[in-house]
Amino acid sequence: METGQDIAVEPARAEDKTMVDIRGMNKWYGTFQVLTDINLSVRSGEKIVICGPSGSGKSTLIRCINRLEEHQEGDIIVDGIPLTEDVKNIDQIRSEVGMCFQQFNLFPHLTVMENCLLAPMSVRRTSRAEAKRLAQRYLEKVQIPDQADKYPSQLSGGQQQRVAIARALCMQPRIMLFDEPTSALDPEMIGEVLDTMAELAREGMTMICVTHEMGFARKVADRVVFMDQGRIVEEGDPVSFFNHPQNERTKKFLKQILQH
Amino acid sequence: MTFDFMAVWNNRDILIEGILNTLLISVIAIPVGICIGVFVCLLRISKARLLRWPAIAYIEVMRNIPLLILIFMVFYALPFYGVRLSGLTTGFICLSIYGGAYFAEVFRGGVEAVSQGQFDAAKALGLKYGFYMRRVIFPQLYSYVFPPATNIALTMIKESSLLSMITVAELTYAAHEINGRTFTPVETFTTIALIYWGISIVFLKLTAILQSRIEVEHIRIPIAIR
Repeated sequence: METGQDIAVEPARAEDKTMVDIRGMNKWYGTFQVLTDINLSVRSGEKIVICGPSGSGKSTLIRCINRLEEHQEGDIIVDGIPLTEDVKNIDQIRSEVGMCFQQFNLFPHLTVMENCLLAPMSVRRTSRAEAKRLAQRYLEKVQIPDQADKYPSQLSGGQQQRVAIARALCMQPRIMLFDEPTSALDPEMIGEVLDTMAELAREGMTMICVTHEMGFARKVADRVVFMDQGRIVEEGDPVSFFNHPQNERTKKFLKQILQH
Repeated sequence: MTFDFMAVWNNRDILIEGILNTLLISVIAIPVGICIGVFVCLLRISKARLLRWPAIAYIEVMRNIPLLILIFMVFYALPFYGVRLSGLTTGFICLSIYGGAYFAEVFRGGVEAVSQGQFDAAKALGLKYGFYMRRVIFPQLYSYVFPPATNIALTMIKESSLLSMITVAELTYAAHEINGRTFTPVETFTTIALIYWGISIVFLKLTAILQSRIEVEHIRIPIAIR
């Protein structure tokens, strides 16, 4: 157990405050090392795009940030809270970090509205009326206010993903994680989801996105992180990343992904 | 050959007591078995070995010994350790813990059929374990575990006949008694078989109604593939 590092929540929440700080992180599945010496620091309001070939550990990395996966070595500090075995810290981090998944993962037995109400009411203890008002606001923001009483299976993939974004926003998170949010979508629905994400970015949300949408990365990202074989191989602002990649592996990857 | 169903009819008081006892045992043992099943299932899927291993041991023991032996052990062997239970109590306990093991395995199968993504989403939203199991995971199991769970319950009703071996006055015991008095085995056991059959039919009908109610409430959910 990694205790001892009693980092209290800082009183001042400055604008350029570090929201996610990952230092010297290593992770293994059994004896196979999936993440090696990961160092990544994300400031408040920053938008990070993580890309790389499949199996490079991108998803695993962002799933470590809210403890869907456990890391074995190194430190992860989210909004001043050290991510340790401590359940209280994990709960607190999860309530501040929203996440969207490749497969949307809406709860199929609940309506869109109920999907949005569940977490605020049970975790934040928000009253039903207040939670409903909040849900309505975020459903409007993702442009599906009139589908609130439908079940997820009655919506298109793009709509489902936007509901998933609204559901995460209802917890009023300080950080949003996106794990390949458009990879399971039909091509004509990718745009609407990316637009929603771009809108969120404009409003100053701290975002970490694993995605292959390089157009989105160019337009929205402050920083692009390239991973290969469990390591961060290269990172930089989009202009230099796309125009002057330094690493051979990055060059090869970009050539393959951008030639279509 | 003539049939003398009057012999059975004349002993209907024994028969009715038998029916009531069989129903009583089932009505108690099935819900208790389901509760044990949920509890053991939660232990069984736990990541902590200390919780998981006892659950595995329990399930394995229950599945691999005959119910009759379990009944004999509780009824005849426990008194040597100072625990003396009536036949009926032995019946409740044995049937419940026997059915509980099977329910646990069915529920576990259901939980494992729910996609990992549902767990991920629930955790990512910060929902607590007990809350998301109750509100997110279990509701998705109903239509999936209902048919096999119905089978287990039905088996429990019929297996309660084994309790006649320790003189619990349930239906099968009643049959023995009537047959002993009248020596009309054909009529007696045919009647008993028909009564078991009737109880099963009514039970299946009730569960079918219950299932359709639940499905209306939760809409038919295609179980997501992991």
